[in-house]
Amino acid sequence: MRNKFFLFFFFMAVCCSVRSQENIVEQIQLRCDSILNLLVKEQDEDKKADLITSFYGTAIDGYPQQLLSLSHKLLAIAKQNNDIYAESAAISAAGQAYRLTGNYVKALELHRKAVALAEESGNKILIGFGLNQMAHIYKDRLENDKALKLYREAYQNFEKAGRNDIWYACMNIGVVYYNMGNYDSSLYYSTEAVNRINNTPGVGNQSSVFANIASIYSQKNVPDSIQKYFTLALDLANSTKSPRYMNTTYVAIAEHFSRIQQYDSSAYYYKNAVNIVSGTEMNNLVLKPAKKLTEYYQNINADSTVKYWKVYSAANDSLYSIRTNQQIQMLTFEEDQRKRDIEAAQVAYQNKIRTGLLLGGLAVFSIVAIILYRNNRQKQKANSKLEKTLVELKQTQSQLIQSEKMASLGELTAGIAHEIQNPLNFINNFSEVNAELIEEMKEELEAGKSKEAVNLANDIKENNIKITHHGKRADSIVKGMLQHSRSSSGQKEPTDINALADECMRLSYHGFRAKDKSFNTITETNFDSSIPKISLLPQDIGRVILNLFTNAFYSVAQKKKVLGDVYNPTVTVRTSRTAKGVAISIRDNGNGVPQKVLDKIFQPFFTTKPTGEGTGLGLSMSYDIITKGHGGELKVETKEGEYAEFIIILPL
Amino acid sequence: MKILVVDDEKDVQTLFEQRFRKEIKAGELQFDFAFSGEDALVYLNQHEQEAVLILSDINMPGMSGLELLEQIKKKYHKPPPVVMMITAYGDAENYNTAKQLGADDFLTKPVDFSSLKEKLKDIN
Repeated sequence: MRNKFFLFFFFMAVCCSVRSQENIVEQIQLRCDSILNLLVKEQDEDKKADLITSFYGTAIDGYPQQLLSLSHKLLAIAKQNNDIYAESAAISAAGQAYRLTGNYVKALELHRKAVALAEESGNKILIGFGLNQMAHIYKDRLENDKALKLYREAYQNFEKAGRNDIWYACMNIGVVYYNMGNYDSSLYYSTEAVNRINNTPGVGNQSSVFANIASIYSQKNVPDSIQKYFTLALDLANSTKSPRYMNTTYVAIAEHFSRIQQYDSSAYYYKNAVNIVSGTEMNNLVLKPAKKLTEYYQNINADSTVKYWKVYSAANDSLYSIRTNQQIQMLTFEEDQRKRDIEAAQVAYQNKIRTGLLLGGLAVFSIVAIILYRNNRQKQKANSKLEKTLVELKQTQSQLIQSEKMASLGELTAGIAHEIQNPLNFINNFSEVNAELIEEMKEELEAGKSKEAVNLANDIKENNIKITHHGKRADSIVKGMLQHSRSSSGQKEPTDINALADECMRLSYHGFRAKDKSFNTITETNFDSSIPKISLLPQDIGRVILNLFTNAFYSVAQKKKVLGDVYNPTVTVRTSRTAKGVAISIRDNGNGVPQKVLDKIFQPFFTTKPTGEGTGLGLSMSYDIITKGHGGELKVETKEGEYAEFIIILPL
Repeated sequence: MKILVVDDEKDVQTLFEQRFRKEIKAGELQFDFAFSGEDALVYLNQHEQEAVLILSDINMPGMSGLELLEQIKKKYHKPPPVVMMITAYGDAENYNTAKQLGADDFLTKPVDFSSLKEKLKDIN
């Protein structure tokens, strides 16, 4: 009964098939063309991917030639619109066409390209579909693990996209599990595929999923379900008129009959499977049924045995070498691909490192450049600041030099006042005395006491000499003061160095005492009277000597404060002729100069005096005046705590 | 009356001798001179109670007039002689220091001898 039902169905199918296969192919092409038109206009990426998978809803992959033709059209669109979606779809379609005709090497190569493009697009549907199509090759070759792995990846991509396209992956996973003998898993995925299709009307070519479910039930021996699903499969295969789908379904039915040992029926479906693909480009599909038929007729009918053996061997011969080669080529291709992947990974890794290094170098270079730039900027800033500061410093220095002059002048003023009062005391009083003496002399003369008159005249004369002397003394003090306050005339003039030194000592001493009343020191002079007049700037040299005396007095005064009565402060000035010229030495028995500051004392602004008491310019100015102004030397000899001796040497 | 004049400038002797020549001739006044503070102390030790009046300069090398004044008033002589300070520094600080140390009078240079003579008459 079951046989009859199938037979009837088959006849119907064959009749329809013969009559309308051409129409159906035409319809498929029309439908594909309309999808192509939509694809050209479509901008949304997911919708594009949907359109691409919908080509396969037309059952076009039952017709390898049509697939190739579709591939060419897609490729044209891709080139025209620079459309990566269309390009991936085109190459995938071509890959499917080559797979269907048994050229797995070419197919694999194309699918890899299609997947790569899909990945470039980043669209999950497109990637899932590309992987799904590539997996078919391994499914066909019963390389189940590889097939399963790829289908699962496809499944995951579809899942992420949240599309019903996942049914393709489910169906195929179901087939692979069937091939592996895992019927429960196969049933699960196949059922899942069916459920998905039910939710999506208009998606065709599901005959193989129903054939697979029927085969599972055949294995599990569930007769009602077997019949139901084979009927569905046959119905759908018929509707597509595709020799491929029909062949697949016939083979599944034949295997079922063989399983339940109804060999006649089995042979019948095997024959149909052979006939439907004979003369098509899918000649490889005759191998399995032809071989089974040869086995079937072996003990029944010699003619038929021979006939199917010939069919089998013809197909096998044409395919054998191809298959063998393919096996080698597949392995080679895969190995090459693997190497290429590794190389690509290596290149990518190297590029990454190179890029990393380059970026690192660039970063370092940038940092260095920035640092250099900043340094430069800062230097420029610092330079302009320095220049400004230098100008300000020069101004300040000249102000300080002036204030140093004024300060020392101030110190001297009181001393000078005293120095003038003293000679004035004599001048005033001696002149008054003289007036009196002259009166007395007149009286003596009138009285005729000429001897007394002469004595008085002598007194008057001596007094007058004193008056003149003290007058000159006052004069030189005033001149000295004026000289000190005046700026240097720049004119060197012959100068008595002994007189200059003596005057400076007195000025300085009294100036110092004017500030410090309790101060007292022994001053000693030791002048070499044979020294001739030296050409020098009297104000400048005078300032130097004054400064050295002031320092000397300061030093002994400090020591006196500490030591008290047991200490006799002494300042000595000595002039002498030396090989180099004239030496003026000013020596004090004060605290001396500490060794650690000895090399600093001639530096500007260096002072050991408390803040406010010294400008720190005295010695540096002195040094400049002697060395630069007069080509001489200013030296110091000292022993800390015992003495300090400053020696000016001026060339003759 | 014996007067000791202390000053580092030796012309002071001539000046005083001539200024007071009449008084010296008349035997009213006797002058001795010391040219430093140290000399003055030596003189005072040697001629105890002789000098009734001491006229001293302040600014002198070595012992200053103020130090001398201090010595005279505190250590050496009982009853101490009259001490007049003669200085070119007429400033308040100098004056106060001198008074504090027991100076009986304070004269500034140039010395006004007629006023000095009046003061001597008062002491006599």
